Amino acid sequence: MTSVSYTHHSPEAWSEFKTGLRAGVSVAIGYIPIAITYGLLAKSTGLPLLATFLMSVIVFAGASQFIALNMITIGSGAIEIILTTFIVNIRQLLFSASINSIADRDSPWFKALYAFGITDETFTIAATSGRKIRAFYMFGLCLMAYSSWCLGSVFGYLVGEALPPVLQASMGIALYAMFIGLLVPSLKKSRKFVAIAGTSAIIHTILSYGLHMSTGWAIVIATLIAAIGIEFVWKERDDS
Amino acid sequence: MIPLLWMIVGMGIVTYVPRMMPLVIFDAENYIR
Repeated sequence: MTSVSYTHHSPEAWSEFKTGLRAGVSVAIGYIPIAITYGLLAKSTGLPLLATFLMSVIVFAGASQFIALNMITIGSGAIEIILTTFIVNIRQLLFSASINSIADRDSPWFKALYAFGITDETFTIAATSGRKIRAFYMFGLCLMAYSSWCLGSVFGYLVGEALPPVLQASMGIALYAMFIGLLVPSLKKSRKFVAIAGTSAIIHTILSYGLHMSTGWAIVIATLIAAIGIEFVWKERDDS
Repeated sequence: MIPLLWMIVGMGIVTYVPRMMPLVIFDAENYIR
């Protein structure tokens, strides 16, 4: 059994924690507007405040939370939403594996704890920090990001409640605007993304309008076929 | 509300497991050594 490099009450641990908190400030600043948007949209979707807060507390994954809101709006079932969440978040397996390669030896319990806070943004900050990743650094970094996300969600929801009903009703369109905002930069970067988005849209249309499949399952199947199919075609093209 | 909570817990589990597995399971080799 290897020894942990420092104990939880050492001054070094506290210093690592503070460094992590400082590194997390930039993530928190980026998260707050998105979390507020999530809260606003959750309100317009009709989600209760407790569920909005708990989704941020338990899931802590922005993109899949927005997708869940959209799927709740169109009346998808829980299984479809959970499966879609899994597909959207499976990429974090790679982030976590990458963090593990630069992580210091720490108690597996500590690692299991900070693993919860690994998102695209905290991963980027940790991976580019040029330092050996220690548990207390990650605790600070993730706590800063996590607290801003959870509090921002609640704040957004409360702001949504204070808006006049006409504005609340019009917030539904903001969800689509946000997805377009997320998609367009990727489409500009690579033709592969255009192919994936286009193919999944075509498959989804065929499944939901042609075969009358429920929208939730159509999303799950269209995403899987388009992502795996286009990746395969692109790989074949690159190899030849 | 209860089905919604179960759905959120399910979403949490399928998000957490991929985040946790490489760090905790792959790390087992460090402990064997």
